[in-house]
Parts: sequence; structure tokens; C-alpha cells
Amino acid sequence: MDIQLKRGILDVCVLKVLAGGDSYGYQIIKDLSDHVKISESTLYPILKRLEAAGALTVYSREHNGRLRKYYSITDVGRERIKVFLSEWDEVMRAYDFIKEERH
Amino acid sequence: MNKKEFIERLCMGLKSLPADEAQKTVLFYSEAINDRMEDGMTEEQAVAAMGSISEIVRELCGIEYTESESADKVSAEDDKVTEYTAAESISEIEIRRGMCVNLVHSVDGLIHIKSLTGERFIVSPGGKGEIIVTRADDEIFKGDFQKLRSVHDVVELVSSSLVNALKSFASIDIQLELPEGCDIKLRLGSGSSVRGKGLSFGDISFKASSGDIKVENVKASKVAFTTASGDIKIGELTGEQVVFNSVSGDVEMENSSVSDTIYVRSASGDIELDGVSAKGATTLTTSGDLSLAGGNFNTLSLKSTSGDIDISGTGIKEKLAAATISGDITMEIGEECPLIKLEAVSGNVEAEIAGRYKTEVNSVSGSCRVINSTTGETENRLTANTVSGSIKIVCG
Repeated sequence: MDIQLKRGILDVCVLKVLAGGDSYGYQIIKDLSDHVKISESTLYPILKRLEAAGALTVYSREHNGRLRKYYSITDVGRERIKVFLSEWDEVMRAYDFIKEERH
Repeated sequence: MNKKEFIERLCMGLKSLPADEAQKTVLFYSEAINDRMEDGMTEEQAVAAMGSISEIVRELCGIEYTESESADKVSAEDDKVTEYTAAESISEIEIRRGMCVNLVHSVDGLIHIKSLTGERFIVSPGGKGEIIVTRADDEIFKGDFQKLRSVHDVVELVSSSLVNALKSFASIDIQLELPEGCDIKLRLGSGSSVRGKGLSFGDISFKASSGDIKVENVKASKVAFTTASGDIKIGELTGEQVVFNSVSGDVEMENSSVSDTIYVRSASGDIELDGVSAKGATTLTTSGDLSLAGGNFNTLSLKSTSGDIDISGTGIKEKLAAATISGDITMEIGEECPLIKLEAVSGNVEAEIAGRYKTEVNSVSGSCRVINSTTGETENRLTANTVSGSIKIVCG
């Protein structure tokens, strides 16, 4: 998939997972695995980017004697999902146009 | 590749990132590997799932990265205590909180930092950029993540905030090897202390906050020791000039010889100079006591607000001036001193001095008692003045 497009979609996919509740790195990957293939090396820059944009916040919690980082969606993040969905119609029209066989 | 190797190689790859960023990244991957292993994967599988290090580095640092041979070398030398080596040009080292630093000389003229308590470090030096030190065991989350930062010739050793977060904090013993004869500035964070024996330096400056400074048998030219609440204990120091600065910590100097001057300043910390010789010494304390035992000076200037001043068995060739507001001055010396001036406001003055003196003693409201068996002419002068304190002088 085109890297720019994929990046934008993956951002929203991660936010969608977090909209269902706070989660940590590996769990996010597992939750997404049925829909889209993503690895840690893809996820980490996404989380970094979303945190910098204020779309999510990070906190640490102890798990089995070590610290695990949890990510939590913010209002900014929820807004991002809304905007993505509303813009998607436009993308779909473009998609139809591209796919359309000219007569 | 196992997890340890992966983390070590990742550290090497991320050295162009700011240390904080690199640390975060390493923690992210370490967590991910642990989570995958907990989920039933083998260590190798979990590591393989992370993707290639070159890719991670390219994504984060925006640079093409090919793992160098040095990365392989680091992981190959498993048995070696990890150490960091820097060029001699580094003149300032910051040791952050919670470390006990043992100073020794290096044999190769370089600076080395080693762990003494068994932690092994992986160090990725970045020239004048940043250096990250990672303790090389697997339990990276148990507060063993460390950074060594080198910015413009300043090396900074930082123990992780995670250490505090997990409250499993234990002080880490570090061996710092410095070239013989080098100038060095050492800054110590809270709880960090430094000790050393048999050392030779150029100019040195040690600054501690709550940890102690303890050095013995040291040769240096200009020396400055500063502490807030930690104690300073110096034995057998040979130097040109020594400056002590303390807030509440005590300053203790023993059997030392200073060719020029000693300057000591303290608020509530006590000062003790035992068997110390110098051309001159100036001390200034607020509530701390000053005690001088033995030693030889040409001139002494001792001042305090409420602290006591006590001199015993010290040789003073030219001049002694001691002044206090409410502290007491007591002195007992066996050698003549040409000029002695003792001043107090409410404090008492008591002196027992061998030799012939011409005395001039005054107290506004306190009692004055002078026993002076001196007969005949003498050039030696002793003056003692108080407002309300009593004066007792015995000489001859």
C-alpha cells in the first residue's frame, strides 16, 4: 500500500483500538492483526507521532515486576477518528473514479 | 538473536538520537519482546518479530543505518565488565544521583568508567554527541537503565528515573579512572559520593550535594571541594591552594600540606583542620565550630558568627586573627607568635600561650584575667577584646 496513505489509515486504526479502552503496544498489534498487519517497528513511530499530536497520552503501570506503558486516547484523538470518517466519503468517490472503467 | 543482543545493537543504532528518545525507544522494544514471550513465543521468535534494526533506526533517526562491526564486538565480548572510555580532553564529569564513585588512576591516560557492583554496561559513545549506557542484563525494567551523556566534553552519568519509580533503588558503585595529572571537574548529584586514595591531579574541583567527598593521599595544585549537606574528609593532601565550601556538611582535613592558602567557608558545618600546614588559612563559619589542632601556618584569619574557635598546638609564624560574635575562642599554643588578635562580642576568650608577650586586654562588661610572667622587652603582641564575654589569658 502507498506509504503515505497507509500511515494515515494506521494512525486512525490505532486510535480506534484505544477508543475501546487503554491498551499497550503488543495488545494493540494483536487487536489490529485481524484487520491490518502491523509490527512494532511500524507501531512505535505511530504512537510517538500521535502522542506528539496530543491524540493520546502515555502512562506506566507495573506488570509482572516490570513497567509496561499504556496508551490512552484523548478528545483530540476521538476527533481525529470522526474527521477521518467524514473525509472518507470523499476518498471513496475518488476510489470509484479511479476504479471506473471508461466508456 | 536473543533479547540482550537485540537491545545492545539497538542502542548502538540509536546513538544519534537524544538520550531520552533512545531510552524510550529501547524500553518500547524491550517491553514488546517481554510481552511476546509472555504470550508464548520463544525469545528468538519474539526478537525476530521486531523487524530489522536497520529499519527501526531508519524510521526513527531518518538515516540509512547499517550495523557496524563494533556492534557485533560488543555482544561478543560477553564476559568483560563493561566500561566507557573517553579521551583525555573531557574535563568535566557529572555523576547523577545515587552513585558511589571510586576514583583511581588509569594506566593508559584515558578516562574509564566501570561498574563495580556487577552491572555490565553497554556504552555507545557518540563523540561529542550523546552516549548511552545500558546495563547489559535482561532485567532492563528493574531500574537498571543508565545513560552516559557526553555533550561538548561533558560526561554525565545518569541513573534512570525508573530506578526511583520502582523504588528498588540501590546505590551503584562506579569506578572512575582518570589520567594521572589531569585537571578534572566532578559534579555529583544527590546521594552520590566520591572516594579515592593515592591520586595525583592538576587542578581539581569536586562538587557534591548530599553525598560525601572522601579522599586520601592526594596530590594536586588547585583544589576546590564543595558540598551542601555531605561531609568532606581529606587526608594527606599536598597542594598549592585549597578551597572548601560547605553549607551543613562537616569539613575535616588531616595531615595535609598546602604551599599557598587554605580557604574554608561553612554555614552550619563544623571545620576541623588536624595537622595541616599552609602559608595562610582563612576560615569563615556561621554556626559551625572551627577546630585547629597542630600544624603550621604563617598567618591565620579565623571568623565565626556563633560557632566556637578552638586552636591547640598550632604553630603560627606571623599572625593570628580570630574573631567571633557569640562563639567562644579557646587557644593553647606552645610556640611564640609575633601578633595575636582575639576578638569576641558576647563570646569568651581563653588563651594559654608559651613565650613572651606584651598584652593588651579589654572587656567592656566581662571579667578580665591576665597572668603574664613576661619580663623584659618583647616584640610579640597579644590583644584580646570582648564586649560582654570574659577573657582569661595566661602567657609566659
